[in-house]
Amino acid sequence: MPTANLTKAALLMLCIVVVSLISWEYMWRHKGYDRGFNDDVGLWRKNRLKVYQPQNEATVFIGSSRIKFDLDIPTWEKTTGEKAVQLALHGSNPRPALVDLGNDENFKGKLVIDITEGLFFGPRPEIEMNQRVQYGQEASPAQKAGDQISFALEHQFTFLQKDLFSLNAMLTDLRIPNRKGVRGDIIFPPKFSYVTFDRQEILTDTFVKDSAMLRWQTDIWTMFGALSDEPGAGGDTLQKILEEVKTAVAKIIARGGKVIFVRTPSSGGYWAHEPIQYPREKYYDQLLRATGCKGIHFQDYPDMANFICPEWSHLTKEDAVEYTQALIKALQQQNWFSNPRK
Amino acid sequence: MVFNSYTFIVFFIIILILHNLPFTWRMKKINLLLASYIFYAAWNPPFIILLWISTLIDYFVGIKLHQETVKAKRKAWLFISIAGNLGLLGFFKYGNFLLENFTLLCQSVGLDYHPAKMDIILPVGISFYTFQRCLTVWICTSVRVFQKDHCLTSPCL
Repeated sequence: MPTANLTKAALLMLCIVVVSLISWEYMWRHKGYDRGFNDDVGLWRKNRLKVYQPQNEATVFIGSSRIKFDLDIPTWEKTTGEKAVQLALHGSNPRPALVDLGNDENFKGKLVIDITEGLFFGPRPEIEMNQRVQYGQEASPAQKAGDQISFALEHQFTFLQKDLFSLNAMLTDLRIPNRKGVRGDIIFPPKFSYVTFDRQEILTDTFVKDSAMLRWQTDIWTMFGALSDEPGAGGDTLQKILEEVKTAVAKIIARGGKVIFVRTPSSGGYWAHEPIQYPREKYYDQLLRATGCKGIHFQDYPDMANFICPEWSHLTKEDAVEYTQALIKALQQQNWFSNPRK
Repeated sequence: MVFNSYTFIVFFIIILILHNLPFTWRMKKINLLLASYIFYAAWNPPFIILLWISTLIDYFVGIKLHQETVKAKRKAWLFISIAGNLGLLGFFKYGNFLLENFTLLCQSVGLDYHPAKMDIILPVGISFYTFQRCLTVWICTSVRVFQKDHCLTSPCL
């Protein structure tokens, strides 16, 4: 084929691609979606690289989803003048991240560990967090470059959010009924949350204001065992978990680092049953004793004790601001910000 | 660098532009050679050394094959190239297998031999580029149309 025809074909293709992408982007923005970031291994690794900042410049957070929603990073950074490095991951056990930081000889910073007992002491496989830890250590130059390109594009385009607009996500959203006797994947409510570039997760206003969606989400928590009174891990399993945590924490403290545990608020069905499944004395308090660390339990602080999580587990955007201020106050009481270099 | 990644798209566009700029043919070949190395190193940079070793062996063997007229010496150069390339492939693909068998053999005759365990990662595409190089050198030997410049394009994956 002559070159001139190929050039015309290429230009036509380029025009079609550009017009299609602009239309696709415009449609989703018109429907009320805004830009957000894929909370993938690349975004986690970007934050993992920030843990080496001096103690008077940053605090690292690990945990499950609650601290991701409940810590309002702009409020934290404005109030404390320090960076918040968010390494928590929803639906996952943070122990692999703790072990990773414990084994990292260069990490000598401040670490806040959020405890969601059902995950921290639970039997759930740790695949997701392990994947991130592994990627943090072994990402290839091509993957690192790809992450940088992804970040630049995700800053501009809404439709790149995989959980919302990938083909799989959109097929799932069709909600085709399963055959009788077949149980499909759990489908989370659309517009549940979005993720910022520093990995804070925020419940959307659309979700919080829609009682049907809130009910949909609490039904999912119920399916996950939120209303169960079955006791959590005990005996040797619990002792092994405590020993693993104790070892990792001791390594960090031995290098001059600081560690504190935090129990973020839950309410409704979760808070009605969590103390039965995971009695504080047996789990949270024993964890503090085993590690010799301080803890900030929301129940112990009047300005944290009365938050209502709309779907039992996470705070709204507005409450996250208040909780963060209360958390900073509680940390100040524990001399968290008293580094002599500051 | 997988083909459906952003990195590859950007990389490919840059190479395509460079290749279509009005450079000399020699410069374009150097561009492609460097692009090949970058493409390979983007997976795991240290393993690019293997590709360099392989390239150097075949580059100099290629020159020798071009200059040499004695049949036996030409065969010797061919042997050096094939042994070097297959040696690398053999080490990475069958190193552990051979070591395990050698250890078993030692133990079967009463020798208490416990070698250090080798944690060998198989370099991506090593079979592909090894056999490509063997083929290139074989063609140089048998057809005798080899020219020094051709060596510059051979490492491109």
